[in-house]
Amino acid sequence: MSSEGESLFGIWAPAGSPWSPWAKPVLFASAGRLERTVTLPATEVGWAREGSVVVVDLPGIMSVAAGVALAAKGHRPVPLYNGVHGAGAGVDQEPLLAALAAGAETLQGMRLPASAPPAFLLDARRFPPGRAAAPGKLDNRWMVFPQDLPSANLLLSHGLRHAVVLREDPLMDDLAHVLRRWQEAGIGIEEKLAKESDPPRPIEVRKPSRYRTAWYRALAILGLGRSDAGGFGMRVPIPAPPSPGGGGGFRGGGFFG
Amino acid sequence: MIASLPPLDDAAREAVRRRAIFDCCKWDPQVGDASALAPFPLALEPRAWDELAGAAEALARETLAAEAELLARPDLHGRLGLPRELRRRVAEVPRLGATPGAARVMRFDFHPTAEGWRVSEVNSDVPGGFIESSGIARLVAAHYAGFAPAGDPTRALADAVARATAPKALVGLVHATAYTDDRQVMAYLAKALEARGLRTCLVSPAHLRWEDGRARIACDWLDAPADLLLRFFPAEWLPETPAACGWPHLLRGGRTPVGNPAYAILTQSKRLPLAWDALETPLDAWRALLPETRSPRDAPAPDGAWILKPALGRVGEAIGLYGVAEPKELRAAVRDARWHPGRWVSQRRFESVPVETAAGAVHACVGVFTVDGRAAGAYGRVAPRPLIDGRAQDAAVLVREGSHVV
Repeated sequence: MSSEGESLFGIWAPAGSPWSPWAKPVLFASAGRLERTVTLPATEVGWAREGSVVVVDLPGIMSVAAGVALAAKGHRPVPLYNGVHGAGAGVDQEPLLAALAAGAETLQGMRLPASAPPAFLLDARRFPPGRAAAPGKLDNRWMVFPQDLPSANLLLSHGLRHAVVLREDPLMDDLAHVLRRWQEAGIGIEEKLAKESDPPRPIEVRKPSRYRTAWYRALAILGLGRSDAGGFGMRVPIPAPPSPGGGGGFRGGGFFG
Repeated sequence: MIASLPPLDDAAREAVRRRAIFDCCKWDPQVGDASALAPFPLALEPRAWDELAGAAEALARETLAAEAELLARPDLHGRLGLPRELRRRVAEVPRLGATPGAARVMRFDFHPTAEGWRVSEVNSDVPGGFIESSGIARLVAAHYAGFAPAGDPTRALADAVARATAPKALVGLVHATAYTDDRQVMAYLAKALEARGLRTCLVSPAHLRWEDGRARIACDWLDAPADLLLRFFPAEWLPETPAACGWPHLLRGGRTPVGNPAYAILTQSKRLPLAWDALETPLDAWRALLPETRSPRDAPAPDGAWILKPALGRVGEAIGLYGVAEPKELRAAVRDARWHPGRWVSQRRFESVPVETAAGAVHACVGVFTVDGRAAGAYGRVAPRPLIDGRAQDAAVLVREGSHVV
């Protein structure tokens, strides 16, 4: 695996930060030679404040740029990009990797304290609604799940009582599953629209479909499966649903077994 | 029977985690607020490992013999709870011929009980745990003088593939590419295969085409005949793949060897014991190690003595375990088993004996791999409750060094 990717991961997920365990390594681990010529666009984050978690859900390099800008405001950016990188990829990860490499140069010079609140970074291109991967392509779409982020209790134990979602497009369903849990546990949720100058405003995250069902993760992946291309490339059959729907097993050494 | 060793210190734990990510493709090292890796290994005395390895080899022999007999007995397939289309295709094996199997891998899950080891199931279709039981076990073992990993199933599997193919053969690693947790397993196996001079290509089932029974990989980054396919995509999902990918060749009428061929689903079904009495194959090891199993129609609802399992469940999901499963989930399992008893099985409950650790007692499961019938290593998982599911942590299984380690 790429030693350059490992060095990059070390900058984005340093050993001293309590939030580093959540950083997703897949993109870094599969990185080849890194392009550093990308210039990150300026991002206005004057609205960010101490004591808040930020969840950045912007497309590609915009997400990384926001993470670097938030670091300058005292947040610890935590990359949660969980799509695989490889030849024929349906979602091009090269720009994201180049942005991470460019951002690392800025991030490296900062001395963020261990107490810096987290800014979790998502790529809004992860699951293009209604768009399946083309035949022959590598299906590398992905989704975020509640177990990919810290629980509300853990955030509260760090004194983090508010979360701001920075986004452009409507709140994606997978992220709503995370935020609704946080909201129910007493974390106030706000949204900040990246293209508007208005400050963050409180929102009520509605219960997404299949909220808290034991089989949510399976069913969510089922949504990813509506493709004739690869990846899931199919609808997922449900062998033994304990509730309407159902699904296969997950984790524990992989999806299966 | 089994014990834990003192936990790694923080620095060692971090070092293991980092090497697991970048050397062993462990890309899901954190789940929620907990590390996916337990801070301590499980330890076996050589005699205990010999016992487990011997039992797993006996179970593997019986499982393969039962599979061979079942392939010729489509009249029994209705007992196994298979999806209709899959069942229809498996029944074509006597007419069209079984696709050749290669590098047959299984994982038998053992639990310590007051009566000795008990096996809860076999993962004979697409068993997972290669990264944890090979690379990570080796990383952990380096911190414990006098202990070694209980084998290396990745090495055993890669060796078996190399034996089954010519030098520089092309191996297709078939999986759900969008799912990182599966991708990591394939990437790790690919490294081991490439180290043996083989070529690899990571693909989804939708990237396969078949010509005269021979598999061809057809995707944007490669168009070439495959010499062998390694499948990490569950058999019961195959009927939902596009027709063009010709999935039935993964079990019948194919000439390209497959590890595991999709007819492995016959023994993956938790309902297999309901067909035992109709088989001529002796199943002495199974009968001795697996708790009594019945159709849900012939067993009490889940209570202190019985549990419910989905016929094709994986990673402990949806198991109706009274006092452990959430009441809502237990009710859902009972309701579905009433409506669809053919999709479930009832099994007599065994009492797992907890293992003491520095952080408290945990329940342990030791998944023993066999590759082509030989014990090849062990995948340890631990959980605070007596149910090993997606919330369990991975724990390296080490054996005190002696002459018995596989």
